[in-house]
Amino acid sequence: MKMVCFMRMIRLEQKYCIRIALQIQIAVIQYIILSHKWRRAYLLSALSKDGKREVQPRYAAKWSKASRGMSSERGLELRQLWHILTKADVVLVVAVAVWAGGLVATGNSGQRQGTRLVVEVSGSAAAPQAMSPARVIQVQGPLGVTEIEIGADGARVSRAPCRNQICVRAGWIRRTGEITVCIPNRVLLRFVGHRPDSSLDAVSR
Amino acid sequence: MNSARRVTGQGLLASLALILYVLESVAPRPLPWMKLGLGNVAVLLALLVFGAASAAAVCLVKLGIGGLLSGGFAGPAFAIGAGAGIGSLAAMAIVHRLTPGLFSPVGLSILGAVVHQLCQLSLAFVYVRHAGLFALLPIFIATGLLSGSLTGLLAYWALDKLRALGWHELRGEARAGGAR
Repeated sequence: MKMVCFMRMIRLEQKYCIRIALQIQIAVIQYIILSHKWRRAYLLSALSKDGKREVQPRYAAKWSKASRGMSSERGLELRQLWHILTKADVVLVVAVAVWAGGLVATGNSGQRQGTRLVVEVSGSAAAPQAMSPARVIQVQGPLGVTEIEIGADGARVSRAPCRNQICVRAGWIRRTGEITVCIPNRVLLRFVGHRPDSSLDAVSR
Repeated sequence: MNSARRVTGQGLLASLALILYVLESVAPRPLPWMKLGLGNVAVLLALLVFGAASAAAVCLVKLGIGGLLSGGFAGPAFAIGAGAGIGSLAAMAIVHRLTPGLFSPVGLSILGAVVHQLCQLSLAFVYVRHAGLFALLPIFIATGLLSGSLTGLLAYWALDKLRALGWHELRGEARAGGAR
């Protein structure tokens, strides 16, 4: 209980903290900018005296190539990017991008219009719900009641007891494979559609 | 360089990480689960300038006090974020240790961000226990790539400035100290 009060107090003090933090940061930046010029001059003279250079990282040569003659006042330039990146970086970026792209390509093919909604609370699923009457259902989670709105072509969490309201802001979901999760209240919405493992394509009555 | 300068530098980096973390947790986000991870700039700087132990210290300070300040301490969202932060730091530190200089700071940051997102998703899976959660994987990887490259560029920029200020002399001592 004490802990909760303490945290609430801290939350109230948050604005103050941010203001102070901003001022500290501005002071640090000012210090860096003000002390920048003479320090750099001192450093350059010291370097030229003993001529010692860093050899430890392999990108040291690249760095000095990129930063030599290019004063730091210029700041961050995107043109410098190709000097910064090593080959391993490029390989990493391409590999990750291909991985994500492959996941998208394989994942989207399995997505279809969902026909029934499954609501899971704390990992246990209820029976799939039909979409036909537009309505609002309520489920009880550990934190409280989550309201789920079911419309003609989708479902969404319309009200939730969680603090950050990520599930509410996630909006409508419509297709199989799309989910809405509320981690604090342990609620998960997903659609099931035409199941590919079913031996029947459809049932007509 | 004496150890006082080192301690001061670590303290500055820890406070910078904290500031960025708290500022970012207040700022509005374009997508609910998207976060730039600005605090990781300071963690990455600590890793590159002072070594893995200081980076872990900066990261723990950021998570502990940042969790208190942003008010979500001991909730599941905080546990997920903290675990992911520690995991991404571990990945960056191991890669930096095993292959020093193979990746630039930008590459290290991208690696850390992607590992961060993977850890986040895995830990969320522990809470939710549904395989459908991994349908979000491509979005998570893409945002990790984006935010990792942005924070990496920022870290590189800051490192460039620090080099101009003479901080890279500290790096040699950090390495010598780390070899003990």
